[in-house]
Amino acid sequence: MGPGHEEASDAEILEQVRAGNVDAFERIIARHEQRVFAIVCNHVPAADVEAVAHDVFLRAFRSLHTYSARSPFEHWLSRVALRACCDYWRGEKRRREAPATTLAPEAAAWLEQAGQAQSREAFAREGARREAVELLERALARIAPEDRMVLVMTQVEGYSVKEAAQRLGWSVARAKVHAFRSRHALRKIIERMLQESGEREHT
Amino acid sequence: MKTKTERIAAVESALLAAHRPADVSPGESWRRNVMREIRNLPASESPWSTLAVFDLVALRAAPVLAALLLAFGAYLFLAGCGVEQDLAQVVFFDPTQTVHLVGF
Repeated sequence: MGPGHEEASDAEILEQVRAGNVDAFERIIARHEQRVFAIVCNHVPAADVEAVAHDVFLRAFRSLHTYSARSPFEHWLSRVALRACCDYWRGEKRRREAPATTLAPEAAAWLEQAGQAQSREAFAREGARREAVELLERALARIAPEDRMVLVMTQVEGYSVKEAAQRLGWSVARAKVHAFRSRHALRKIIERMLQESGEREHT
Repeated sequence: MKTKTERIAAVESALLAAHRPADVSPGESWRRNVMREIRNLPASESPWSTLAVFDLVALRAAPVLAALLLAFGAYLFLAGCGVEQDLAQVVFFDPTQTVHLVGF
């Protein structure tokens, strides 16, 4: 890029797309793909990240007429990305119900051990084990897609409920309800798992 | 010995610590595929197709139209405008029909 050549803003590029220059949208993709991948990677398994990110940009292009330049384009695109992730889990839930398999002996042993962990370091150490990843997936698969999104955003990514609401384009009240429901659901699932592992020990 | 609630909280913390974001980066071929699909979108799916713009206008106008309809309904209700009653009056008290019947 030569001196004095200012990089076009998102609004200017979108204006070009609006005027019929569809190819200009590639610059929008190049500019925002890292951000979209970062969002999608946090919510979707690695095998499906590219497909969901692909869907995000298609949706964004199709609904460009609904974007008003009053808010930054990246905020609008982040919302599109989060909704695409949420729809991904809705589809997954329809495709396959959460398997009602019994706990493996290793998973039951992990639950017993993790239940005794005391410190942040101990939680991290237990969380690093394969059994933890499997049990987390098993638990999350039983939580409603919206609740799951809010749970990951608030409990893993560290957003406040208000920030999560803003990013999802929801009201704070709605995000609060989903945050409460997700924690409650997760604790119920853990309680059942602990019960199951306790029963396994007794038999 | 921990209580049940403490054990649940400990497992919850350990499980949440197990969350790992996927490690996938966008590549040139991925971007080419997205652009290929966008270029091949049918005209009806273009963001500025007549249908898309109509959808947007209709969506924005829907609350206003609904409010107008409600207001009009309330006005009719309060003003006591009975269309059916007027029609019945025209049919049963039509002076020309009366004359015709008398003549017969």
